[in-house]
Amino acid sequence: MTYKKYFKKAPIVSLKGQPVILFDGKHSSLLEALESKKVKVFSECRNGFCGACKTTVISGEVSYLTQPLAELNADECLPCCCVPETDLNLKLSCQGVEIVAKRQYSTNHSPAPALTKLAHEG
Amino acid sequence: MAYSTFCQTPNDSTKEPMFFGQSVNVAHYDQQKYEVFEKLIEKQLSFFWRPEEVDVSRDKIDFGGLPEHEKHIFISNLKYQTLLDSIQGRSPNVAFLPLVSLPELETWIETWSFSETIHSRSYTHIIRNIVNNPSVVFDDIVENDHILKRAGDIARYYDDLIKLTQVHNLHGSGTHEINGEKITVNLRILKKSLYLCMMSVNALEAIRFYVSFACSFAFAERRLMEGNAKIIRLIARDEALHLNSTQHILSLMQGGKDDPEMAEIAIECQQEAYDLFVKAAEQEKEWAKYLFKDGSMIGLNEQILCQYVEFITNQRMKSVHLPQPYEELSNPLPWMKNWLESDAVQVAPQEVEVSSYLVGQIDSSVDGDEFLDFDL
Repeated sequence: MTYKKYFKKAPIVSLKGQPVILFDGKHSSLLEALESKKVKVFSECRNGFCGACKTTVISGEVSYLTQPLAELNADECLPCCCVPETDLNLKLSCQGVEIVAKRQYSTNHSPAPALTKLAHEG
Repeated sequence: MAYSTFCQTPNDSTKEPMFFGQSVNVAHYDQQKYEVFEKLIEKQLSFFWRPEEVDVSRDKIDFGGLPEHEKHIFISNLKYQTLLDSIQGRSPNVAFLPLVSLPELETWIETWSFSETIHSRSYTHIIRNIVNNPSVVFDDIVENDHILKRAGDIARYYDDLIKLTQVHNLHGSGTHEINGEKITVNLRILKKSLYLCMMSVNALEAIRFYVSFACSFAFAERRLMEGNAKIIRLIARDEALHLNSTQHILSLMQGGKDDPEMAEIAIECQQEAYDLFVKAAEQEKEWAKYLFKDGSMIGLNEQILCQYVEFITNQRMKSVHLPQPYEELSNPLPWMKNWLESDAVQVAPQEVEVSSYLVGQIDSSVDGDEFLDFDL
């Protein structure tokens, strides 16, 4: 009975392109996950009606746990009441955020250029 | 557009703008132009509470033990909150109801204002408990210069709109001489007055209230005056909703889909709206100075409160699409979020965590997918 028809990869949440969180279901909302990594997000009601945590989504999609009451543009989300549906890139600063160090492979193959760039940024 | 309590011209209310259309006749909610107001009404109703549910008896002991300068902070803050809710308990009804043309928005305004009257009743509940003669506290509200100064600015926009509406209703567009005073009124002037009034209400709900909440919660952070903080927490939860509604209304006005002339007015009034917010923020900073004139309290002083005013002003102005006047900084009162989180609010003794429940509500949504792996 545990068989699932499809496998869903845990979404990766990035801040302005820098991967920061693997959203593996340990946090009940995107906001909690962001806070656990010490991302600076302003929040108040944490229930989707004050709109304080409104965040711009650069790419990716979220799904809502409760329908937000706050006004949202097409490119905005309310992290307090949503979870990432796909990999997500948010317009938030990763200043002071704990960034997962990328594992360095010592193989003959040189790593993909994009990866090297990100590792240096971190 | 003479106001009628029941306009007999049949109309489709979904084709009316939010304000200045045909007055609402049948209060029906089956078809809605802006569903968000219906959702706000439902949410507000699910938040219903009464001040008597909160036990504030311990506060009397706490209050007695406070040093004089902290008593001043507490009482002054409470006076200010009383003033704000006295205004909000009536003004949205008096000012906006004659102008509104959507049933769901009309009902939202009434629901909103009603919840403010509960807030006013809570202040009496709190004050009655901590002082022997509550009228000493209440009487000072209309005598205290520091409170009156701000009251004038808050009431001004409402009063202006109410006066213009009355003149327009009686005499129509044009310049009229009333009691020796020349008043020019037309629909555009009225719309402008409404837009600025809505901005002023937003500033009130978004900045002024939150400054007072910070003071109330600062006591409770030290485990003092906790009964009061419980009530203020319920008030703050309601205010977040009211704030959301004025942000929605302002956005709809600015968007221009609702009423294209309103969008023009929004652009025209941007500077005035900006100045109004900055003035409110500066007044709150002056108030902080008055609150802490005899000394600060642990966890809160004039400087931190002023930083909070600046921080919150930036946030709120961003929400109503205005430029931010202050330097970007991080939240100087991070503990505020523990008090503002709505699900942490305890509403009834039997209900510890979930704050917004609907009586008798059952979840009847069953998705067709639930039966996919079901065979006989």
